Amino acid sequence: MIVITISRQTGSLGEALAIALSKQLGIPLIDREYVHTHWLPEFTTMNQRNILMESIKYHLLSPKGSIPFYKAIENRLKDAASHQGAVIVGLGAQAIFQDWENALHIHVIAPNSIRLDRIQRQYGIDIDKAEKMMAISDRKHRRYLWEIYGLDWEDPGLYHLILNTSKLSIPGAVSIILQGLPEELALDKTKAVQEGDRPIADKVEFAHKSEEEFAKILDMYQIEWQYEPTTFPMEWDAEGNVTMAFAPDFYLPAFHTYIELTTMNQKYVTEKNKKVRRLKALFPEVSVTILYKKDIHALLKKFGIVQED
Amino acid sequence: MEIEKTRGAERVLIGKDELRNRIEILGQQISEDYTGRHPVLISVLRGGLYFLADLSRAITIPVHIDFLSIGRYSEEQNHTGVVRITKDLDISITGRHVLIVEDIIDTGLTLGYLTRTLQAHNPESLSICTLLNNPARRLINLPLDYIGFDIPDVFVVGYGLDYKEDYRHLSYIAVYTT
Repeated sequence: MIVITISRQTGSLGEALAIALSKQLGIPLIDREYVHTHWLPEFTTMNQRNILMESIKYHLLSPKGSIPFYKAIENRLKDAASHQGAVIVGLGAQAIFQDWENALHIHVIAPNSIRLDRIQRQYGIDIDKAEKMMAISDRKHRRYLWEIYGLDWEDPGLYHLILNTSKLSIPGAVSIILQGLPEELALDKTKAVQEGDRPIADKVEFAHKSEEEFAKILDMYQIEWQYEPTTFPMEWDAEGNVTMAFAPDFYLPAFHTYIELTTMNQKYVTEKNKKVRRLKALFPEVSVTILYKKDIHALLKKFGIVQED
Repeated sequence: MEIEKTRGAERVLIGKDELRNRIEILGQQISEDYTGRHPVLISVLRGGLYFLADLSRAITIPVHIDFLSIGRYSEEQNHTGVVRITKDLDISITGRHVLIVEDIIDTGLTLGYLTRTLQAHNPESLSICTLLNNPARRLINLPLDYIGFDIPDVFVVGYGLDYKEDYRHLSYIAVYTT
């Protein structure tokens, strides 16, 4: 079965390329999130999984009476790949499948200026935050391969193909990769997948009724607003992937203010408060306000959108 | 102080003397800051009426005063509508030093609308003075230049502030409980 490993710089479109390849070839996509969600719960505790998300060196440890964590992940990857093939993002797969006969190893890169631009647009953040995010993720990608496998992440000898996506669309990159596959594994080379070229919705679809009502109040005061325009990266795993992000509901550009509405029960409110505190710690210059259930109700009542009690 | 035993105005939050003393201090500060600038004080009807009247008399430099009124218009039933100026300024503020005089700022939505509307007249400067500031309800952060009192997150009436048009005439600020 074919195995395609995708090693990528953040902002290189590596993830979008992996999704497109997986769909084109009809084989599973396996990334760190998939491993954490589907495999690790079988042989780790929640505490162990939390540490694995944070620490590279923890992967080298062996739980009592068992093999090291990274070996257990390796075994599951090999098992899955041999049964149905896979497109694997990260996870040291270029090392794990280095000698695999049907494996194609791809490194996806882009010039820093283009990566920064993409990161800014993807997460809606400014250049300083994008630079910080790029530096953190590069460092973690590099360290992961070095600490676990003693290999240099940027060694071109590890890869069959190094793709610079600065002038390549996702369909174009997919096409190049398919051309490089052995004939018996190439499948249908004509179906270019348009992943990454998602249409922009011309109408806002709110996740919750209260958000729509709040937008009406802003409209009433002719205050310009944007709905979930920015996703702030909050936490990264040991490999440099963003594992927690936060997208406040509204941004008021004229006042440089983000507003998060919550109509949920206290358990989730606590979680949101935690996220907002973390956001303020990471991005102290960002102004963000939480509007709680009672505040929203008071506002709606004030403007006659709901009946008074 | 004896509070009227009527409906929900339950306790005095800021008494008459406290209001007068604080407004006197604000008037002095504004007089010093605006010396030689002949500011225009603009208040929003009807809540800011009493505050503007007392503040303008505590200011010792020449001022002009004017009023705005804001209303909500709805073109369709069940539609939230839009906020519009229902009584515009009588004085031109282009090139003038303008001080918005507000009774209370909570969410900041009205103030946000007001500042944007007044900025369109190209004043020389635009500052904000509020008698009461309820920061717990703030959605829009605008710099407040003069604050009379920071208050807790309670509904207040009196000294121009109303509940369904009642209580405006009280000479003190009271907490209203439904």
